[in-house]
Amino acid sequence: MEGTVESEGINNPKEKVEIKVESYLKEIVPGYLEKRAENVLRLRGALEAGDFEVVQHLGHDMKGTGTGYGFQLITELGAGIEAAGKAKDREEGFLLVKELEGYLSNLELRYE
Amino acid sequence: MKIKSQLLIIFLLISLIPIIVIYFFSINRFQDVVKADHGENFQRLAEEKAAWIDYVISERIADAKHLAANKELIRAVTLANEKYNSISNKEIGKKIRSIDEDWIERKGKTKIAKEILGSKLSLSLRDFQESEVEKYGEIFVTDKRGATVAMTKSLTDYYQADEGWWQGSYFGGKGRVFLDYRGFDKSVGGVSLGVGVPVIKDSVVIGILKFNNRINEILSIVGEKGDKKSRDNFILDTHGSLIAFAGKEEKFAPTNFEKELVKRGGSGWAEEAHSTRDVLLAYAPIKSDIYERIQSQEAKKGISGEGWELAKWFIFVEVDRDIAFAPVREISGSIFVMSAMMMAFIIVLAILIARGIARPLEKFTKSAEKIGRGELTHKIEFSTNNEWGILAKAFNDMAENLANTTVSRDQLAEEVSERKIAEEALKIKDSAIENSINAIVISNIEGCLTYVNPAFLDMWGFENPREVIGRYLADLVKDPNELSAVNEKIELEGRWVGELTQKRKDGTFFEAQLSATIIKDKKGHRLHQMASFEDITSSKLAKRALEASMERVANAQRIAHLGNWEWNVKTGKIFWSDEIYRIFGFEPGEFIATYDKFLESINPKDKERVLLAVEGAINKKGNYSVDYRTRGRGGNIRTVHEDGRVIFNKAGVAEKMVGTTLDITDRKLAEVELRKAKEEAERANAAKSVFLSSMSHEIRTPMNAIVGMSELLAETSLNKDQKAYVDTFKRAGAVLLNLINDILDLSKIEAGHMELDEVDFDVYECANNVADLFITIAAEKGVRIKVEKTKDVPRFFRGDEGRLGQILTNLVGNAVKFSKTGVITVKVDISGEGDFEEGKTRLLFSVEDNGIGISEEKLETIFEEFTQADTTTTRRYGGTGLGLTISKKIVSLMDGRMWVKSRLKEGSIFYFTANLKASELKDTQVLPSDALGLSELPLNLIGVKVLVVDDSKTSSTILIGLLNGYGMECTWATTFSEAAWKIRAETKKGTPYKLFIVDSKLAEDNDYDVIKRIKKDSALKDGVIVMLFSDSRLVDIKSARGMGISDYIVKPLKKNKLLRIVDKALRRAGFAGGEKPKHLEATKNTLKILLVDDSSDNRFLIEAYLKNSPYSLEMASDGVEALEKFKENSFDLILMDMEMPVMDGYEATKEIRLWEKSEGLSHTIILALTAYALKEEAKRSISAGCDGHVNKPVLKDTLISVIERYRQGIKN
Repeated sequence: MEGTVESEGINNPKEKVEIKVESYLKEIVPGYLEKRAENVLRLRGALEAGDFEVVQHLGHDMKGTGTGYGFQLITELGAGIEAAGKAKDREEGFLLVKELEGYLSNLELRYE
Repeated sequence: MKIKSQLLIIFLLISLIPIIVIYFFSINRFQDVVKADHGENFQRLAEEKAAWIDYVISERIADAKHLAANKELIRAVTLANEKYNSISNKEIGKKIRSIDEDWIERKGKTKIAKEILGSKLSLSLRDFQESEVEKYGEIFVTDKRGATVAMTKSLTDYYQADEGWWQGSYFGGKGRVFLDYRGFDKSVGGVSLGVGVPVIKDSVVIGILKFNNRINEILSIVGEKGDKKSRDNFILDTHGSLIAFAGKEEKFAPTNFEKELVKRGGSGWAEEAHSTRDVLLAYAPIKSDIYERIQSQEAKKGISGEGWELAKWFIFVEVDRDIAFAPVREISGSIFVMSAMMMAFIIVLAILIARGIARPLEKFTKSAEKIGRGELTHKIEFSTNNEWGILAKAFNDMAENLANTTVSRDQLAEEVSERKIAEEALKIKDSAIENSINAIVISNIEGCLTYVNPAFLDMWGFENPREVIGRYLADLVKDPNELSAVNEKIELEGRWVGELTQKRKDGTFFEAQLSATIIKDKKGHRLHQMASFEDITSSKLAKRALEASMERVANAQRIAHLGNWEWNVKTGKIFWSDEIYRIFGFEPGEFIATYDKFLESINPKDKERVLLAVEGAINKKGNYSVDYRTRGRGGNIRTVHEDGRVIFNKAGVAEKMVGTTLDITDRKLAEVELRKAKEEAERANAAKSVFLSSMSHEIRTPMNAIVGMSELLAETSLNKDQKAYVDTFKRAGAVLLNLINDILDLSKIEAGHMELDEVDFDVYECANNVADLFITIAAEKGVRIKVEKTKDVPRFFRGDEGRLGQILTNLVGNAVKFSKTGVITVKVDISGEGDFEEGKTRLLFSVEDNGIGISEEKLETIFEEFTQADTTTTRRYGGTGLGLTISKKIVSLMDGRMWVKSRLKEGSIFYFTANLKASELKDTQVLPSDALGLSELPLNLIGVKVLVVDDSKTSSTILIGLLNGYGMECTWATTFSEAAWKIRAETKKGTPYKLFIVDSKLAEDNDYDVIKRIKKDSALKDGVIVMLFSDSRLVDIKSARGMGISDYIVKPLKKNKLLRIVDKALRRAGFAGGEKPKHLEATKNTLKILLVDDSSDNRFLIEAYLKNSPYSLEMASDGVEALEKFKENSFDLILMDMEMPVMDGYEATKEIRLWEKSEGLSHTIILALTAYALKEEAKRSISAGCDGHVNKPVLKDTLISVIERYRQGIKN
């Protein structure tokens, strides 16, 4: 996993990630991203508590929605988080959540 | 055991045991004696040597004493002592030490030393020493204080009183002889034994004379009489130190045993085992007291000088035991030889004695055996007069007596025996006649019967001989005149043999073989007549039966025109049945058949072939069959079939040959006629196929225009009526097209032109694709289609996916067509039938429905061309009636078979097998075309550049019209040069074509130039070529693929088919989709969509997607809510998330379908939403009742395309 994290450069707090968002999604994208930020906290809590069902569920949701909103990486990370939840791999879960957090904080949206 | 052997063993035991005991006893005893003798001798030798050494030492002492008494010497010493008289003792000591220190320091080169060396006494002593230089190494004299007075050579020091030997000699002023041994002494130049004697004057010791003796003489005594090779002599002192050694060992060291002996003292002898050898040793002490210098404890500690200790010397004489006992060995060898000789003598003697007893015994035994066998004249030869001779004589007498009594009994027996033999012979003759099967009669010369045997009574039916004895033979025959004639012949010739009809007692007749003779006496007078009769009635009957049978065979052969023959290979004789003669054109029995005649009868043109067949059968030890023509008499040539079999003897040599020859002339003629008729029929059939296919082709060209244009027309804006008209002629066109396709397929199969493709394909996907084709139509009828997977069946195979799909389409299509409710199940399994072929799997497919079924009587005919189960079926259900025929024939091409089980009104199961090659793809792999995972959805083709190369305007118009409908950018080229030019221009602009649709005829006419050009151009490497064929017969898939063509389309062009092929070809080339749609086509047909998803994110997203669309959207967050909304409203389309809490999508879909059915509602399209769906999940959703599925995350364009695709269906 370390390769993926580093190669994406997501952990680098200075590097902004610019995402183009279709203008018709303008109204729903901020709410979506807020939920994801909230998800980061929920995921951390669930991972701490060992509640992998919740981890799996949240990952599944992200996997199914990310790309639709224009965030391919959220779908990918969601799939990873779902798999980590399924495998009860806490360490991997934390890494992915951290990556998600980095991604969310570095996002710069551009509506088209 | 024989007596001879027993005697031998006893003799040997008695004689050998004492010899062996005596041998070992005497050897031991002798050894002890030798040992004691040697020991004592050696002891004596040691004692002698010790005495001698003592003598030598005493001689030296005597010499020393003698010199010490010399007056000159006494005077000189006296003078020396007096030199110090004037000086105090303290001063003397100081002076002497001063001189001594100076002496030592200057190594004896002081003035005083020189004076002493040059003194008169010193010169005298030197003279004396040099006169006995062998004995004396050094002589010197000291005064009473130990200061040197005279010396033969320069000493190492001046002062001697500090040395042990001096003190030993001085002995506290008493004086005595002191022997000191100090090993090697440099001043002497060898091993030294010192002798110190006091110089006495007036009974007072005034000085000491010291002789340092060479002791070579002593050493020579040690070695003397010692043989270096056999003996070791040496001297040990009481401390166990070796003083001298003379012997064979280079590194001699005394043993502990020897050291122990020295400590014990005295003399003696002993045996000793050394580590390497055993020895016999003797020892004796040397009496002289000799002092040896020892290192005192102080000296050892390095504190002060040396000490002396008295040590006794012992001389040892030691010899190897082997050498000592050599005489013993020599003697024991001699004794051994003598013993062996004695033993040999005893053995010979024992053998002779045993033989002397055993031989006569054997002789007697043999003689007794001979007499026992009856040789009574046998005598034992024994010339001796001893007991054996007497015994032999008694034996011979006994035999003689026995012989005399036995001979008379034999003679008696011989006479009795002859008589018995004669009686037996008579009895046998009587018995022979009495028991003869033949009837035997004896009559007198007049013919009056005198004897008849029982067989006669049986044959004529009499019970007692008395009934016939005395009667005449003439009474017992049918015709007495005939008998008279016979009697005359007997009279003349003496005997007669022939057949004569006899008359039984009951008056019936029978045939008998008669042989009669006259019995005469020695003088030739006729005495009797004897006759023998054999009843030949049954053999006569058998003969007649055989003749009848042979006649029947002959008749059969004649009718069948089949003859049999037999040829004796060895003699060359040949048997021909009558029919053979006739077949070859001869009269039966016209000549005697021979092998040459046979060869002549064969037509010369065929002769060689026949001979080869015959020779081949003989050489290969087998049979032969050959057809040939006869030569034919009068031009009547016949064709025959001959079968022959060679019969071999045990040695494997051909003995004879048997066989049959069948006239097949008529059959041959019939065969020719039949072949002609068959060829005629085949020609007619081929003509039919050609006609059909060309007809189809001719129809296909205008059909292409009709169908294509109707597809285009349907895409335009039409009013309701117009749409109905267009739909009607679209449907009619489709029916006609199906018919033509079926006819073409059939003619192609019959002409043997159908070739199967060979590509890797997913067998389940193939079945699912077929199911998907019908799923909507079936759902509308309330029929479900499911594809069942069997666990063991792999996914991938190599074969013709298209043709397999065609068969399944036909079967599933029929099932849908003939079902009103229920489920259609498509199953794929492994078939257990047929032979196993490496690398191939025989699959069993079945399509089961609950439809109308087929009656039993129709089951047999449904696979026939243009046949349906019922004539009304065609009217009611449509169809050409060719589908099953074609399917069955394709199945045959796949090395399989097709059959059906069905019951009227209950349903049918169609089965077929196909032998498919195994694919190298693993079940977990994906086909290149599946790689996108979105294969269920059509690609977005908007903006994809297409070049259509076709010279037909109609065809191109339809093609471009249809492709434009998908948003593709089409260009048309009518010639290859125009196409090349357009390709170049577009490539230059950087907008190369993606898809090329090329007419096959045009390509062929231009030698595929454009295709080669496209394949060569690197800018077009991703380009996809699809070939357009006007006739499916022209399709050569393998060559097309070899050229790099992705796929092909056969005209007429239909929208769905075109889309499917273009989609597939582009996917294979890795194409993912064209441009995004610029705008959504506004439509008046607003759809009501129900979105069911528990994820608000998804609901918001899809809402956003469809915001400005003409669709109205309602949402539900789980299955229960969805069901409620569905029951309250009607929807055109439901987007159903499958994984939801409360009630999931599967459950909800099932409930909706149940509701539709119970309420009689029309089928609502339900599309499943699944996150990165696996194929299994997709299938599960279809099984639950969904019509299709969309993978999550769903994109706007994809969603709209899917909705649009189904909107068309809903609209229709």
